Amino acid sequence: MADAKQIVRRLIEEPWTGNMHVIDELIGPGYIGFDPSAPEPIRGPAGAKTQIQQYIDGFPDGRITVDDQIAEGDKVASRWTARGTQTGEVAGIAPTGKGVTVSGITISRLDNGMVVEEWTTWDTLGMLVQLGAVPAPTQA
Amino acid sequence: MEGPLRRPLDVAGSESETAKDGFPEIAMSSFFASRHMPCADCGASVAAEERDEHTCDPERVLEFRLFQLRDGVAGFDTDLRGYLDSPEGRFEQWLAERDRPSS
Repeated sequence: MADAKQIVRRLIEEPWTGNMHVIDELIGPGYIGFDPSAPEPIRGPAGAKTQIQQYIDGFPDGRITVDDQIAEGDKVASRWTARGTQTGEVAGIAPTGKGVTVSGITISRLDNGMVVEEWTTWDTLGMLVQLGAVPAPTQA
Repeated sequence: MEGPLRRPLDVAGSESETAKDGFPEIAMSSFFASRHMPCADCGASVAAEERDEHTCDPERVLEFRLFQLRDGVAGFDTDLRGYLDSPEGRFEQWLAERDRPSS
């Protein structure tokens, strides 16, 4: 069986290089994902594809790099950085052409070589600030 | 449902009034400031510790400005066709044709 860290790394990085098949390959059918930017839990490979695709549509040149990983038991924690230029609509924000860099942490639980559960926390507010979507009040 | 609330939020350049040294002045800075911010001139994502050394790539500046003008660029042909079809445009074409030097 492939190394758990490698499985998770591929799942985080490869959809952004055009390989969406990796989701079907590495996400279990009963997958459930939790992300503060998603109003409901993300369910199954189809739900994961929809969630990722909305950001790829917003940042078509986007890339995610896994910077660090820790594995224990059936879980892998990954610290990652995402970079991209917003040339598509994302979160209701019209394309700005601005470059954005955000970081996040994903904890993945694996079962039989597939990811079945994930908890992600990422810098959503940082993305909104960088895109200018959060109003910039005057400094005191 | 279409309507004002469904329209994408157009924030491009909205912080330009508060731009300082090419970077937007971030509100609530004591509370929250992103470590990376896009350069107001070229749109590149620049880390806070690299802001002083950041130099815009002229090609990126051009691409960034063209991107922000994309609606105007895309609408130019349509606007031109509309103008040429208007009474004023037709007259201008007639005048230009009349004044064109014969070869």
